[in-house]
Amino acid sequence: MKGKMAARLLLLPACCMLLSGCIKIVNLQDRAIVQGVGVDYEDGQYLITMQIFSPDGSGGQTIVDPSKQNAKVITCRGKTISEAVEDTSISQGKDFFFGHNRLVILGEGARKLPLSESLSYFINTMDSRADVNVLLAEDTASEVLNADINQGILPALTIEKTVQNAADSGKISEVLLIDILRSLAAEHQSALIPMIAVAEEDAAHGTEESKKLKNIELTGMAVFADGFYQGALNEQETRGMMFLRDEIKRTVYPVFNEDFREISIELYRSDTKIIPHLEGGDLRFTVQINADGMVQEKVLKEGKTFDNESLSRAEKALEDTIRSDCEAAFQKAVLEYQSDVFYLGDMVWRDQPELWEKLQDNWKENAGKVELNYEVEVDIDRTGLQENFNGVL
Amino acid sequence: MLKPKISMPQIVMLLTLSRMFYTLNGILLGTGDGYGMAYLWAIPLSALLQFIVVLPALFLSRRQGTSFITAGYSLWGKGGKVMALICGVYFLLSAVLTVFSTEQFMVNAAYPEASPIFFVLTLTLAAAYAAHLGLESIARSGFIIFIIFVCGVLFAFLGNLEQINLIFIRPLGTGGFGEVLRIAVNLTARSPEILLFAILLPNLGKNRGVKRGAIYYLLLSSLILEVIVFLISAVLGQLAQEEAFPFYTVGTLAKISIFQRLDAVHMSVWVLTAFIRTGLYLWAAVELFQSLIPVKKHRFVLPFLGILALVGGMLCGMDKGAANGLYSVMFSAIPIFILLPFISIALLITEKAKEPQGKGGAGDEG
Repeated sequence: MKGKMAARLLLLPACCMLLSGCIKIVNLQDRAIVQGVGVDYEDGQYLITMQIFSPDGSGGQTIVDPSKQNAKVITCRGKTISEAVEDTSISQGKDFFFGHNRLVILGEGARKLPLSESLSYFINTMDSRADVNVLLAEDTASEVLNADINQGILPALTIEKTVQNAADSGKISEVLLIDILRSLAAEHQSALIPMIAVAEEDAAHGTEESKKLKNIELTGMAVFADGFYQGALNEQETRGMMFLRDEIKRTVYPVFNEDFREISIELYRSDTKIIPHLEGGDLRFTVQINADGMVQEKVLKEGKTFDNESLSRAEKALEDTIRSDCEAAFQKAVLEYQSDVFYLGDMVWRDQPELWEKLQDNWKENAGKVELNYEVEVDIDRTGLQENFNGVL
Repeated sequence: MLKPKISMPQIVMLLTLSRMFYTLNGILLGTGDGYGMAYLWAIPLSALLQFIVVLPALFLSRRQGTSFITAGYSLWGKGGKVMALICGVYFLLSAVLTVFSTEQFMVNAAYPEASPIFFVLTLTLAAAYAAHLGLESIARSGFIIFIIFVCGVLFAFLGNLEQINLIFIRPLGTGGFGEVLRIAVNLTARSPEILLFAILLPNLGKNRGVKRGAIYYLLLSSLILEVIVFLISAVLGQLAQEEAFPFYTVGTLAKISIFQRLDAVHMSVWVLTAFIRTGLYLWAAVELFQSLIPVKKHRFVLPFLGILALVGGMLCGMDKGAANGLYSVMFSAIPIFILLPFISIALLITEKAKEPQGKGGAGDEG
């Protein structure tokens, strides 16, 4: 009995020895918490720009001053990203922690490398997360991370929020690292990455204040096939791409026609179905887009009335615009860039597996031979608060 | 000695939890075919195959009033000892594989700088203690961990709703039923729980209903497995084939409002699951080996098997060839498709043959 008690008492301090942890401890002050990473490539070397969380207190009781950047930028070079990060870690005396990284921005130089190579470090390292936003800079990634962004607590957080807001508004598609990995794993799929640039200084219109409000802008979507950069989709093509991928949550379309000097329609709901089928041995896709809209603002032309007919004409004009956006996106991405960013191959695989067996080896070329038939239906069922609608919805 | 008694729901939850451990490690769960529609169809088919495989043992249990191990002792004498030895070794190796897989997960996904011996040692010690406390204690802990596990899966599912896209699920392809059957057979071969169910039958409490219990276990485990495989397929798509720990990757992506980056929570759930599984199999191996030796030597069995599990786990960690060899043996069709049904049928035939002479005394395993 006494022996058992003694053994139990000895067990307690023995367990405490196990609580010392099984890896080297790194204190918080020795860690550099990375918020954004830029990857550029020049002269055979990687140039890595890291935005580190560095609170700028206001001097009072607050550690973080929202009016300041609360970040500092560190640049390092190396033959590989690991080498660059490791060398800087030694020189800075800090352990870089990527667990809170929000952004990975690839620069123009890194664009020329295969995606799997430039992102390999973030794919394999344990710290890095698969839900980090990936962006492609029009120029260098370091320019974006060094941009003077004073909105929000952290510049990287502001960029992340900008991307999310743009995705919610149907301007660009938010792409995470996991999305790129998924498309790289499937040979027939292609990847898309939003493009970001530092806003140009406009001496004629820009005041100091407006320059501070707009430092970065999202300029379109870059298309990658087999991991290599092919080209970019502009604003119109990007929106068409988002319709085809059923990623539109809400978006605003201005319409100008015979009735309205201008009418802005917000599409608050959109649903896209793409159905593959064979017509006489040829592969066709029917794209069915159903969207509901509300009138946000309108200016009628003289002598025109706001009624069922004018609303129908506005709906028709909007349907034509959506159709042309989608076709433009398809032409650019699939025909010109030979990239299947719309999961057309997966749809064929799912619905026509025997046909897919024949087409899968040269899918990128075969996809260029398909035709899209559009069935677009827009229903504007909310006309706003201004009481001058003559009709029944 | 009084046999531990646990209820059918406890057995069902314990075995379900044990089976779910395989979803952690893509290597263990991976059948070489990737995740997708074929896998989703294979899961219910595997449940059916397992039910067919265990049916002779259930029938034998009903006729003999005990498990097929005890029936083996009473009907085959020394042949029963051979059966107990084989099953004991099988469960011990299952425990070794569990320890090894957990160590692999911890050093690859969580603590790459840590020494593997730390995880092997602590897990084996904890499991040995659980085995020492017995089946009732394991079952009670298993219930709590099962609830936590289900909450974890639910959170991973709800937190990934935005990432789920049905187009990512790899279609069935032209392989059709053949592909589904192949995966179902592989899945069944990796399910030692059904053999453990047949052996745990004598440990049931008042509420027997063994056939119902088997059905509940297969339904529950298949349902949860279906949810997990659907989640992996619909979030990761073909990337799942390349991931070492696909469900862990899915778990790290999950976020609901401020609840995000809960990697440590997912890790803890898996470690707890591994603990229950290792403890359960170690306990089963101890019980079976104890039936082979005199009572006065029983106290040496647990330490001996614990050391074997520890050494086995370390060996697998040091030599990947040994680990691969162990996988091929354990995941072949022989243990589940041959050991359980054919031996049960052979025992039924023996019982039938002996019937006119009267039944022999059912020997107690202890």
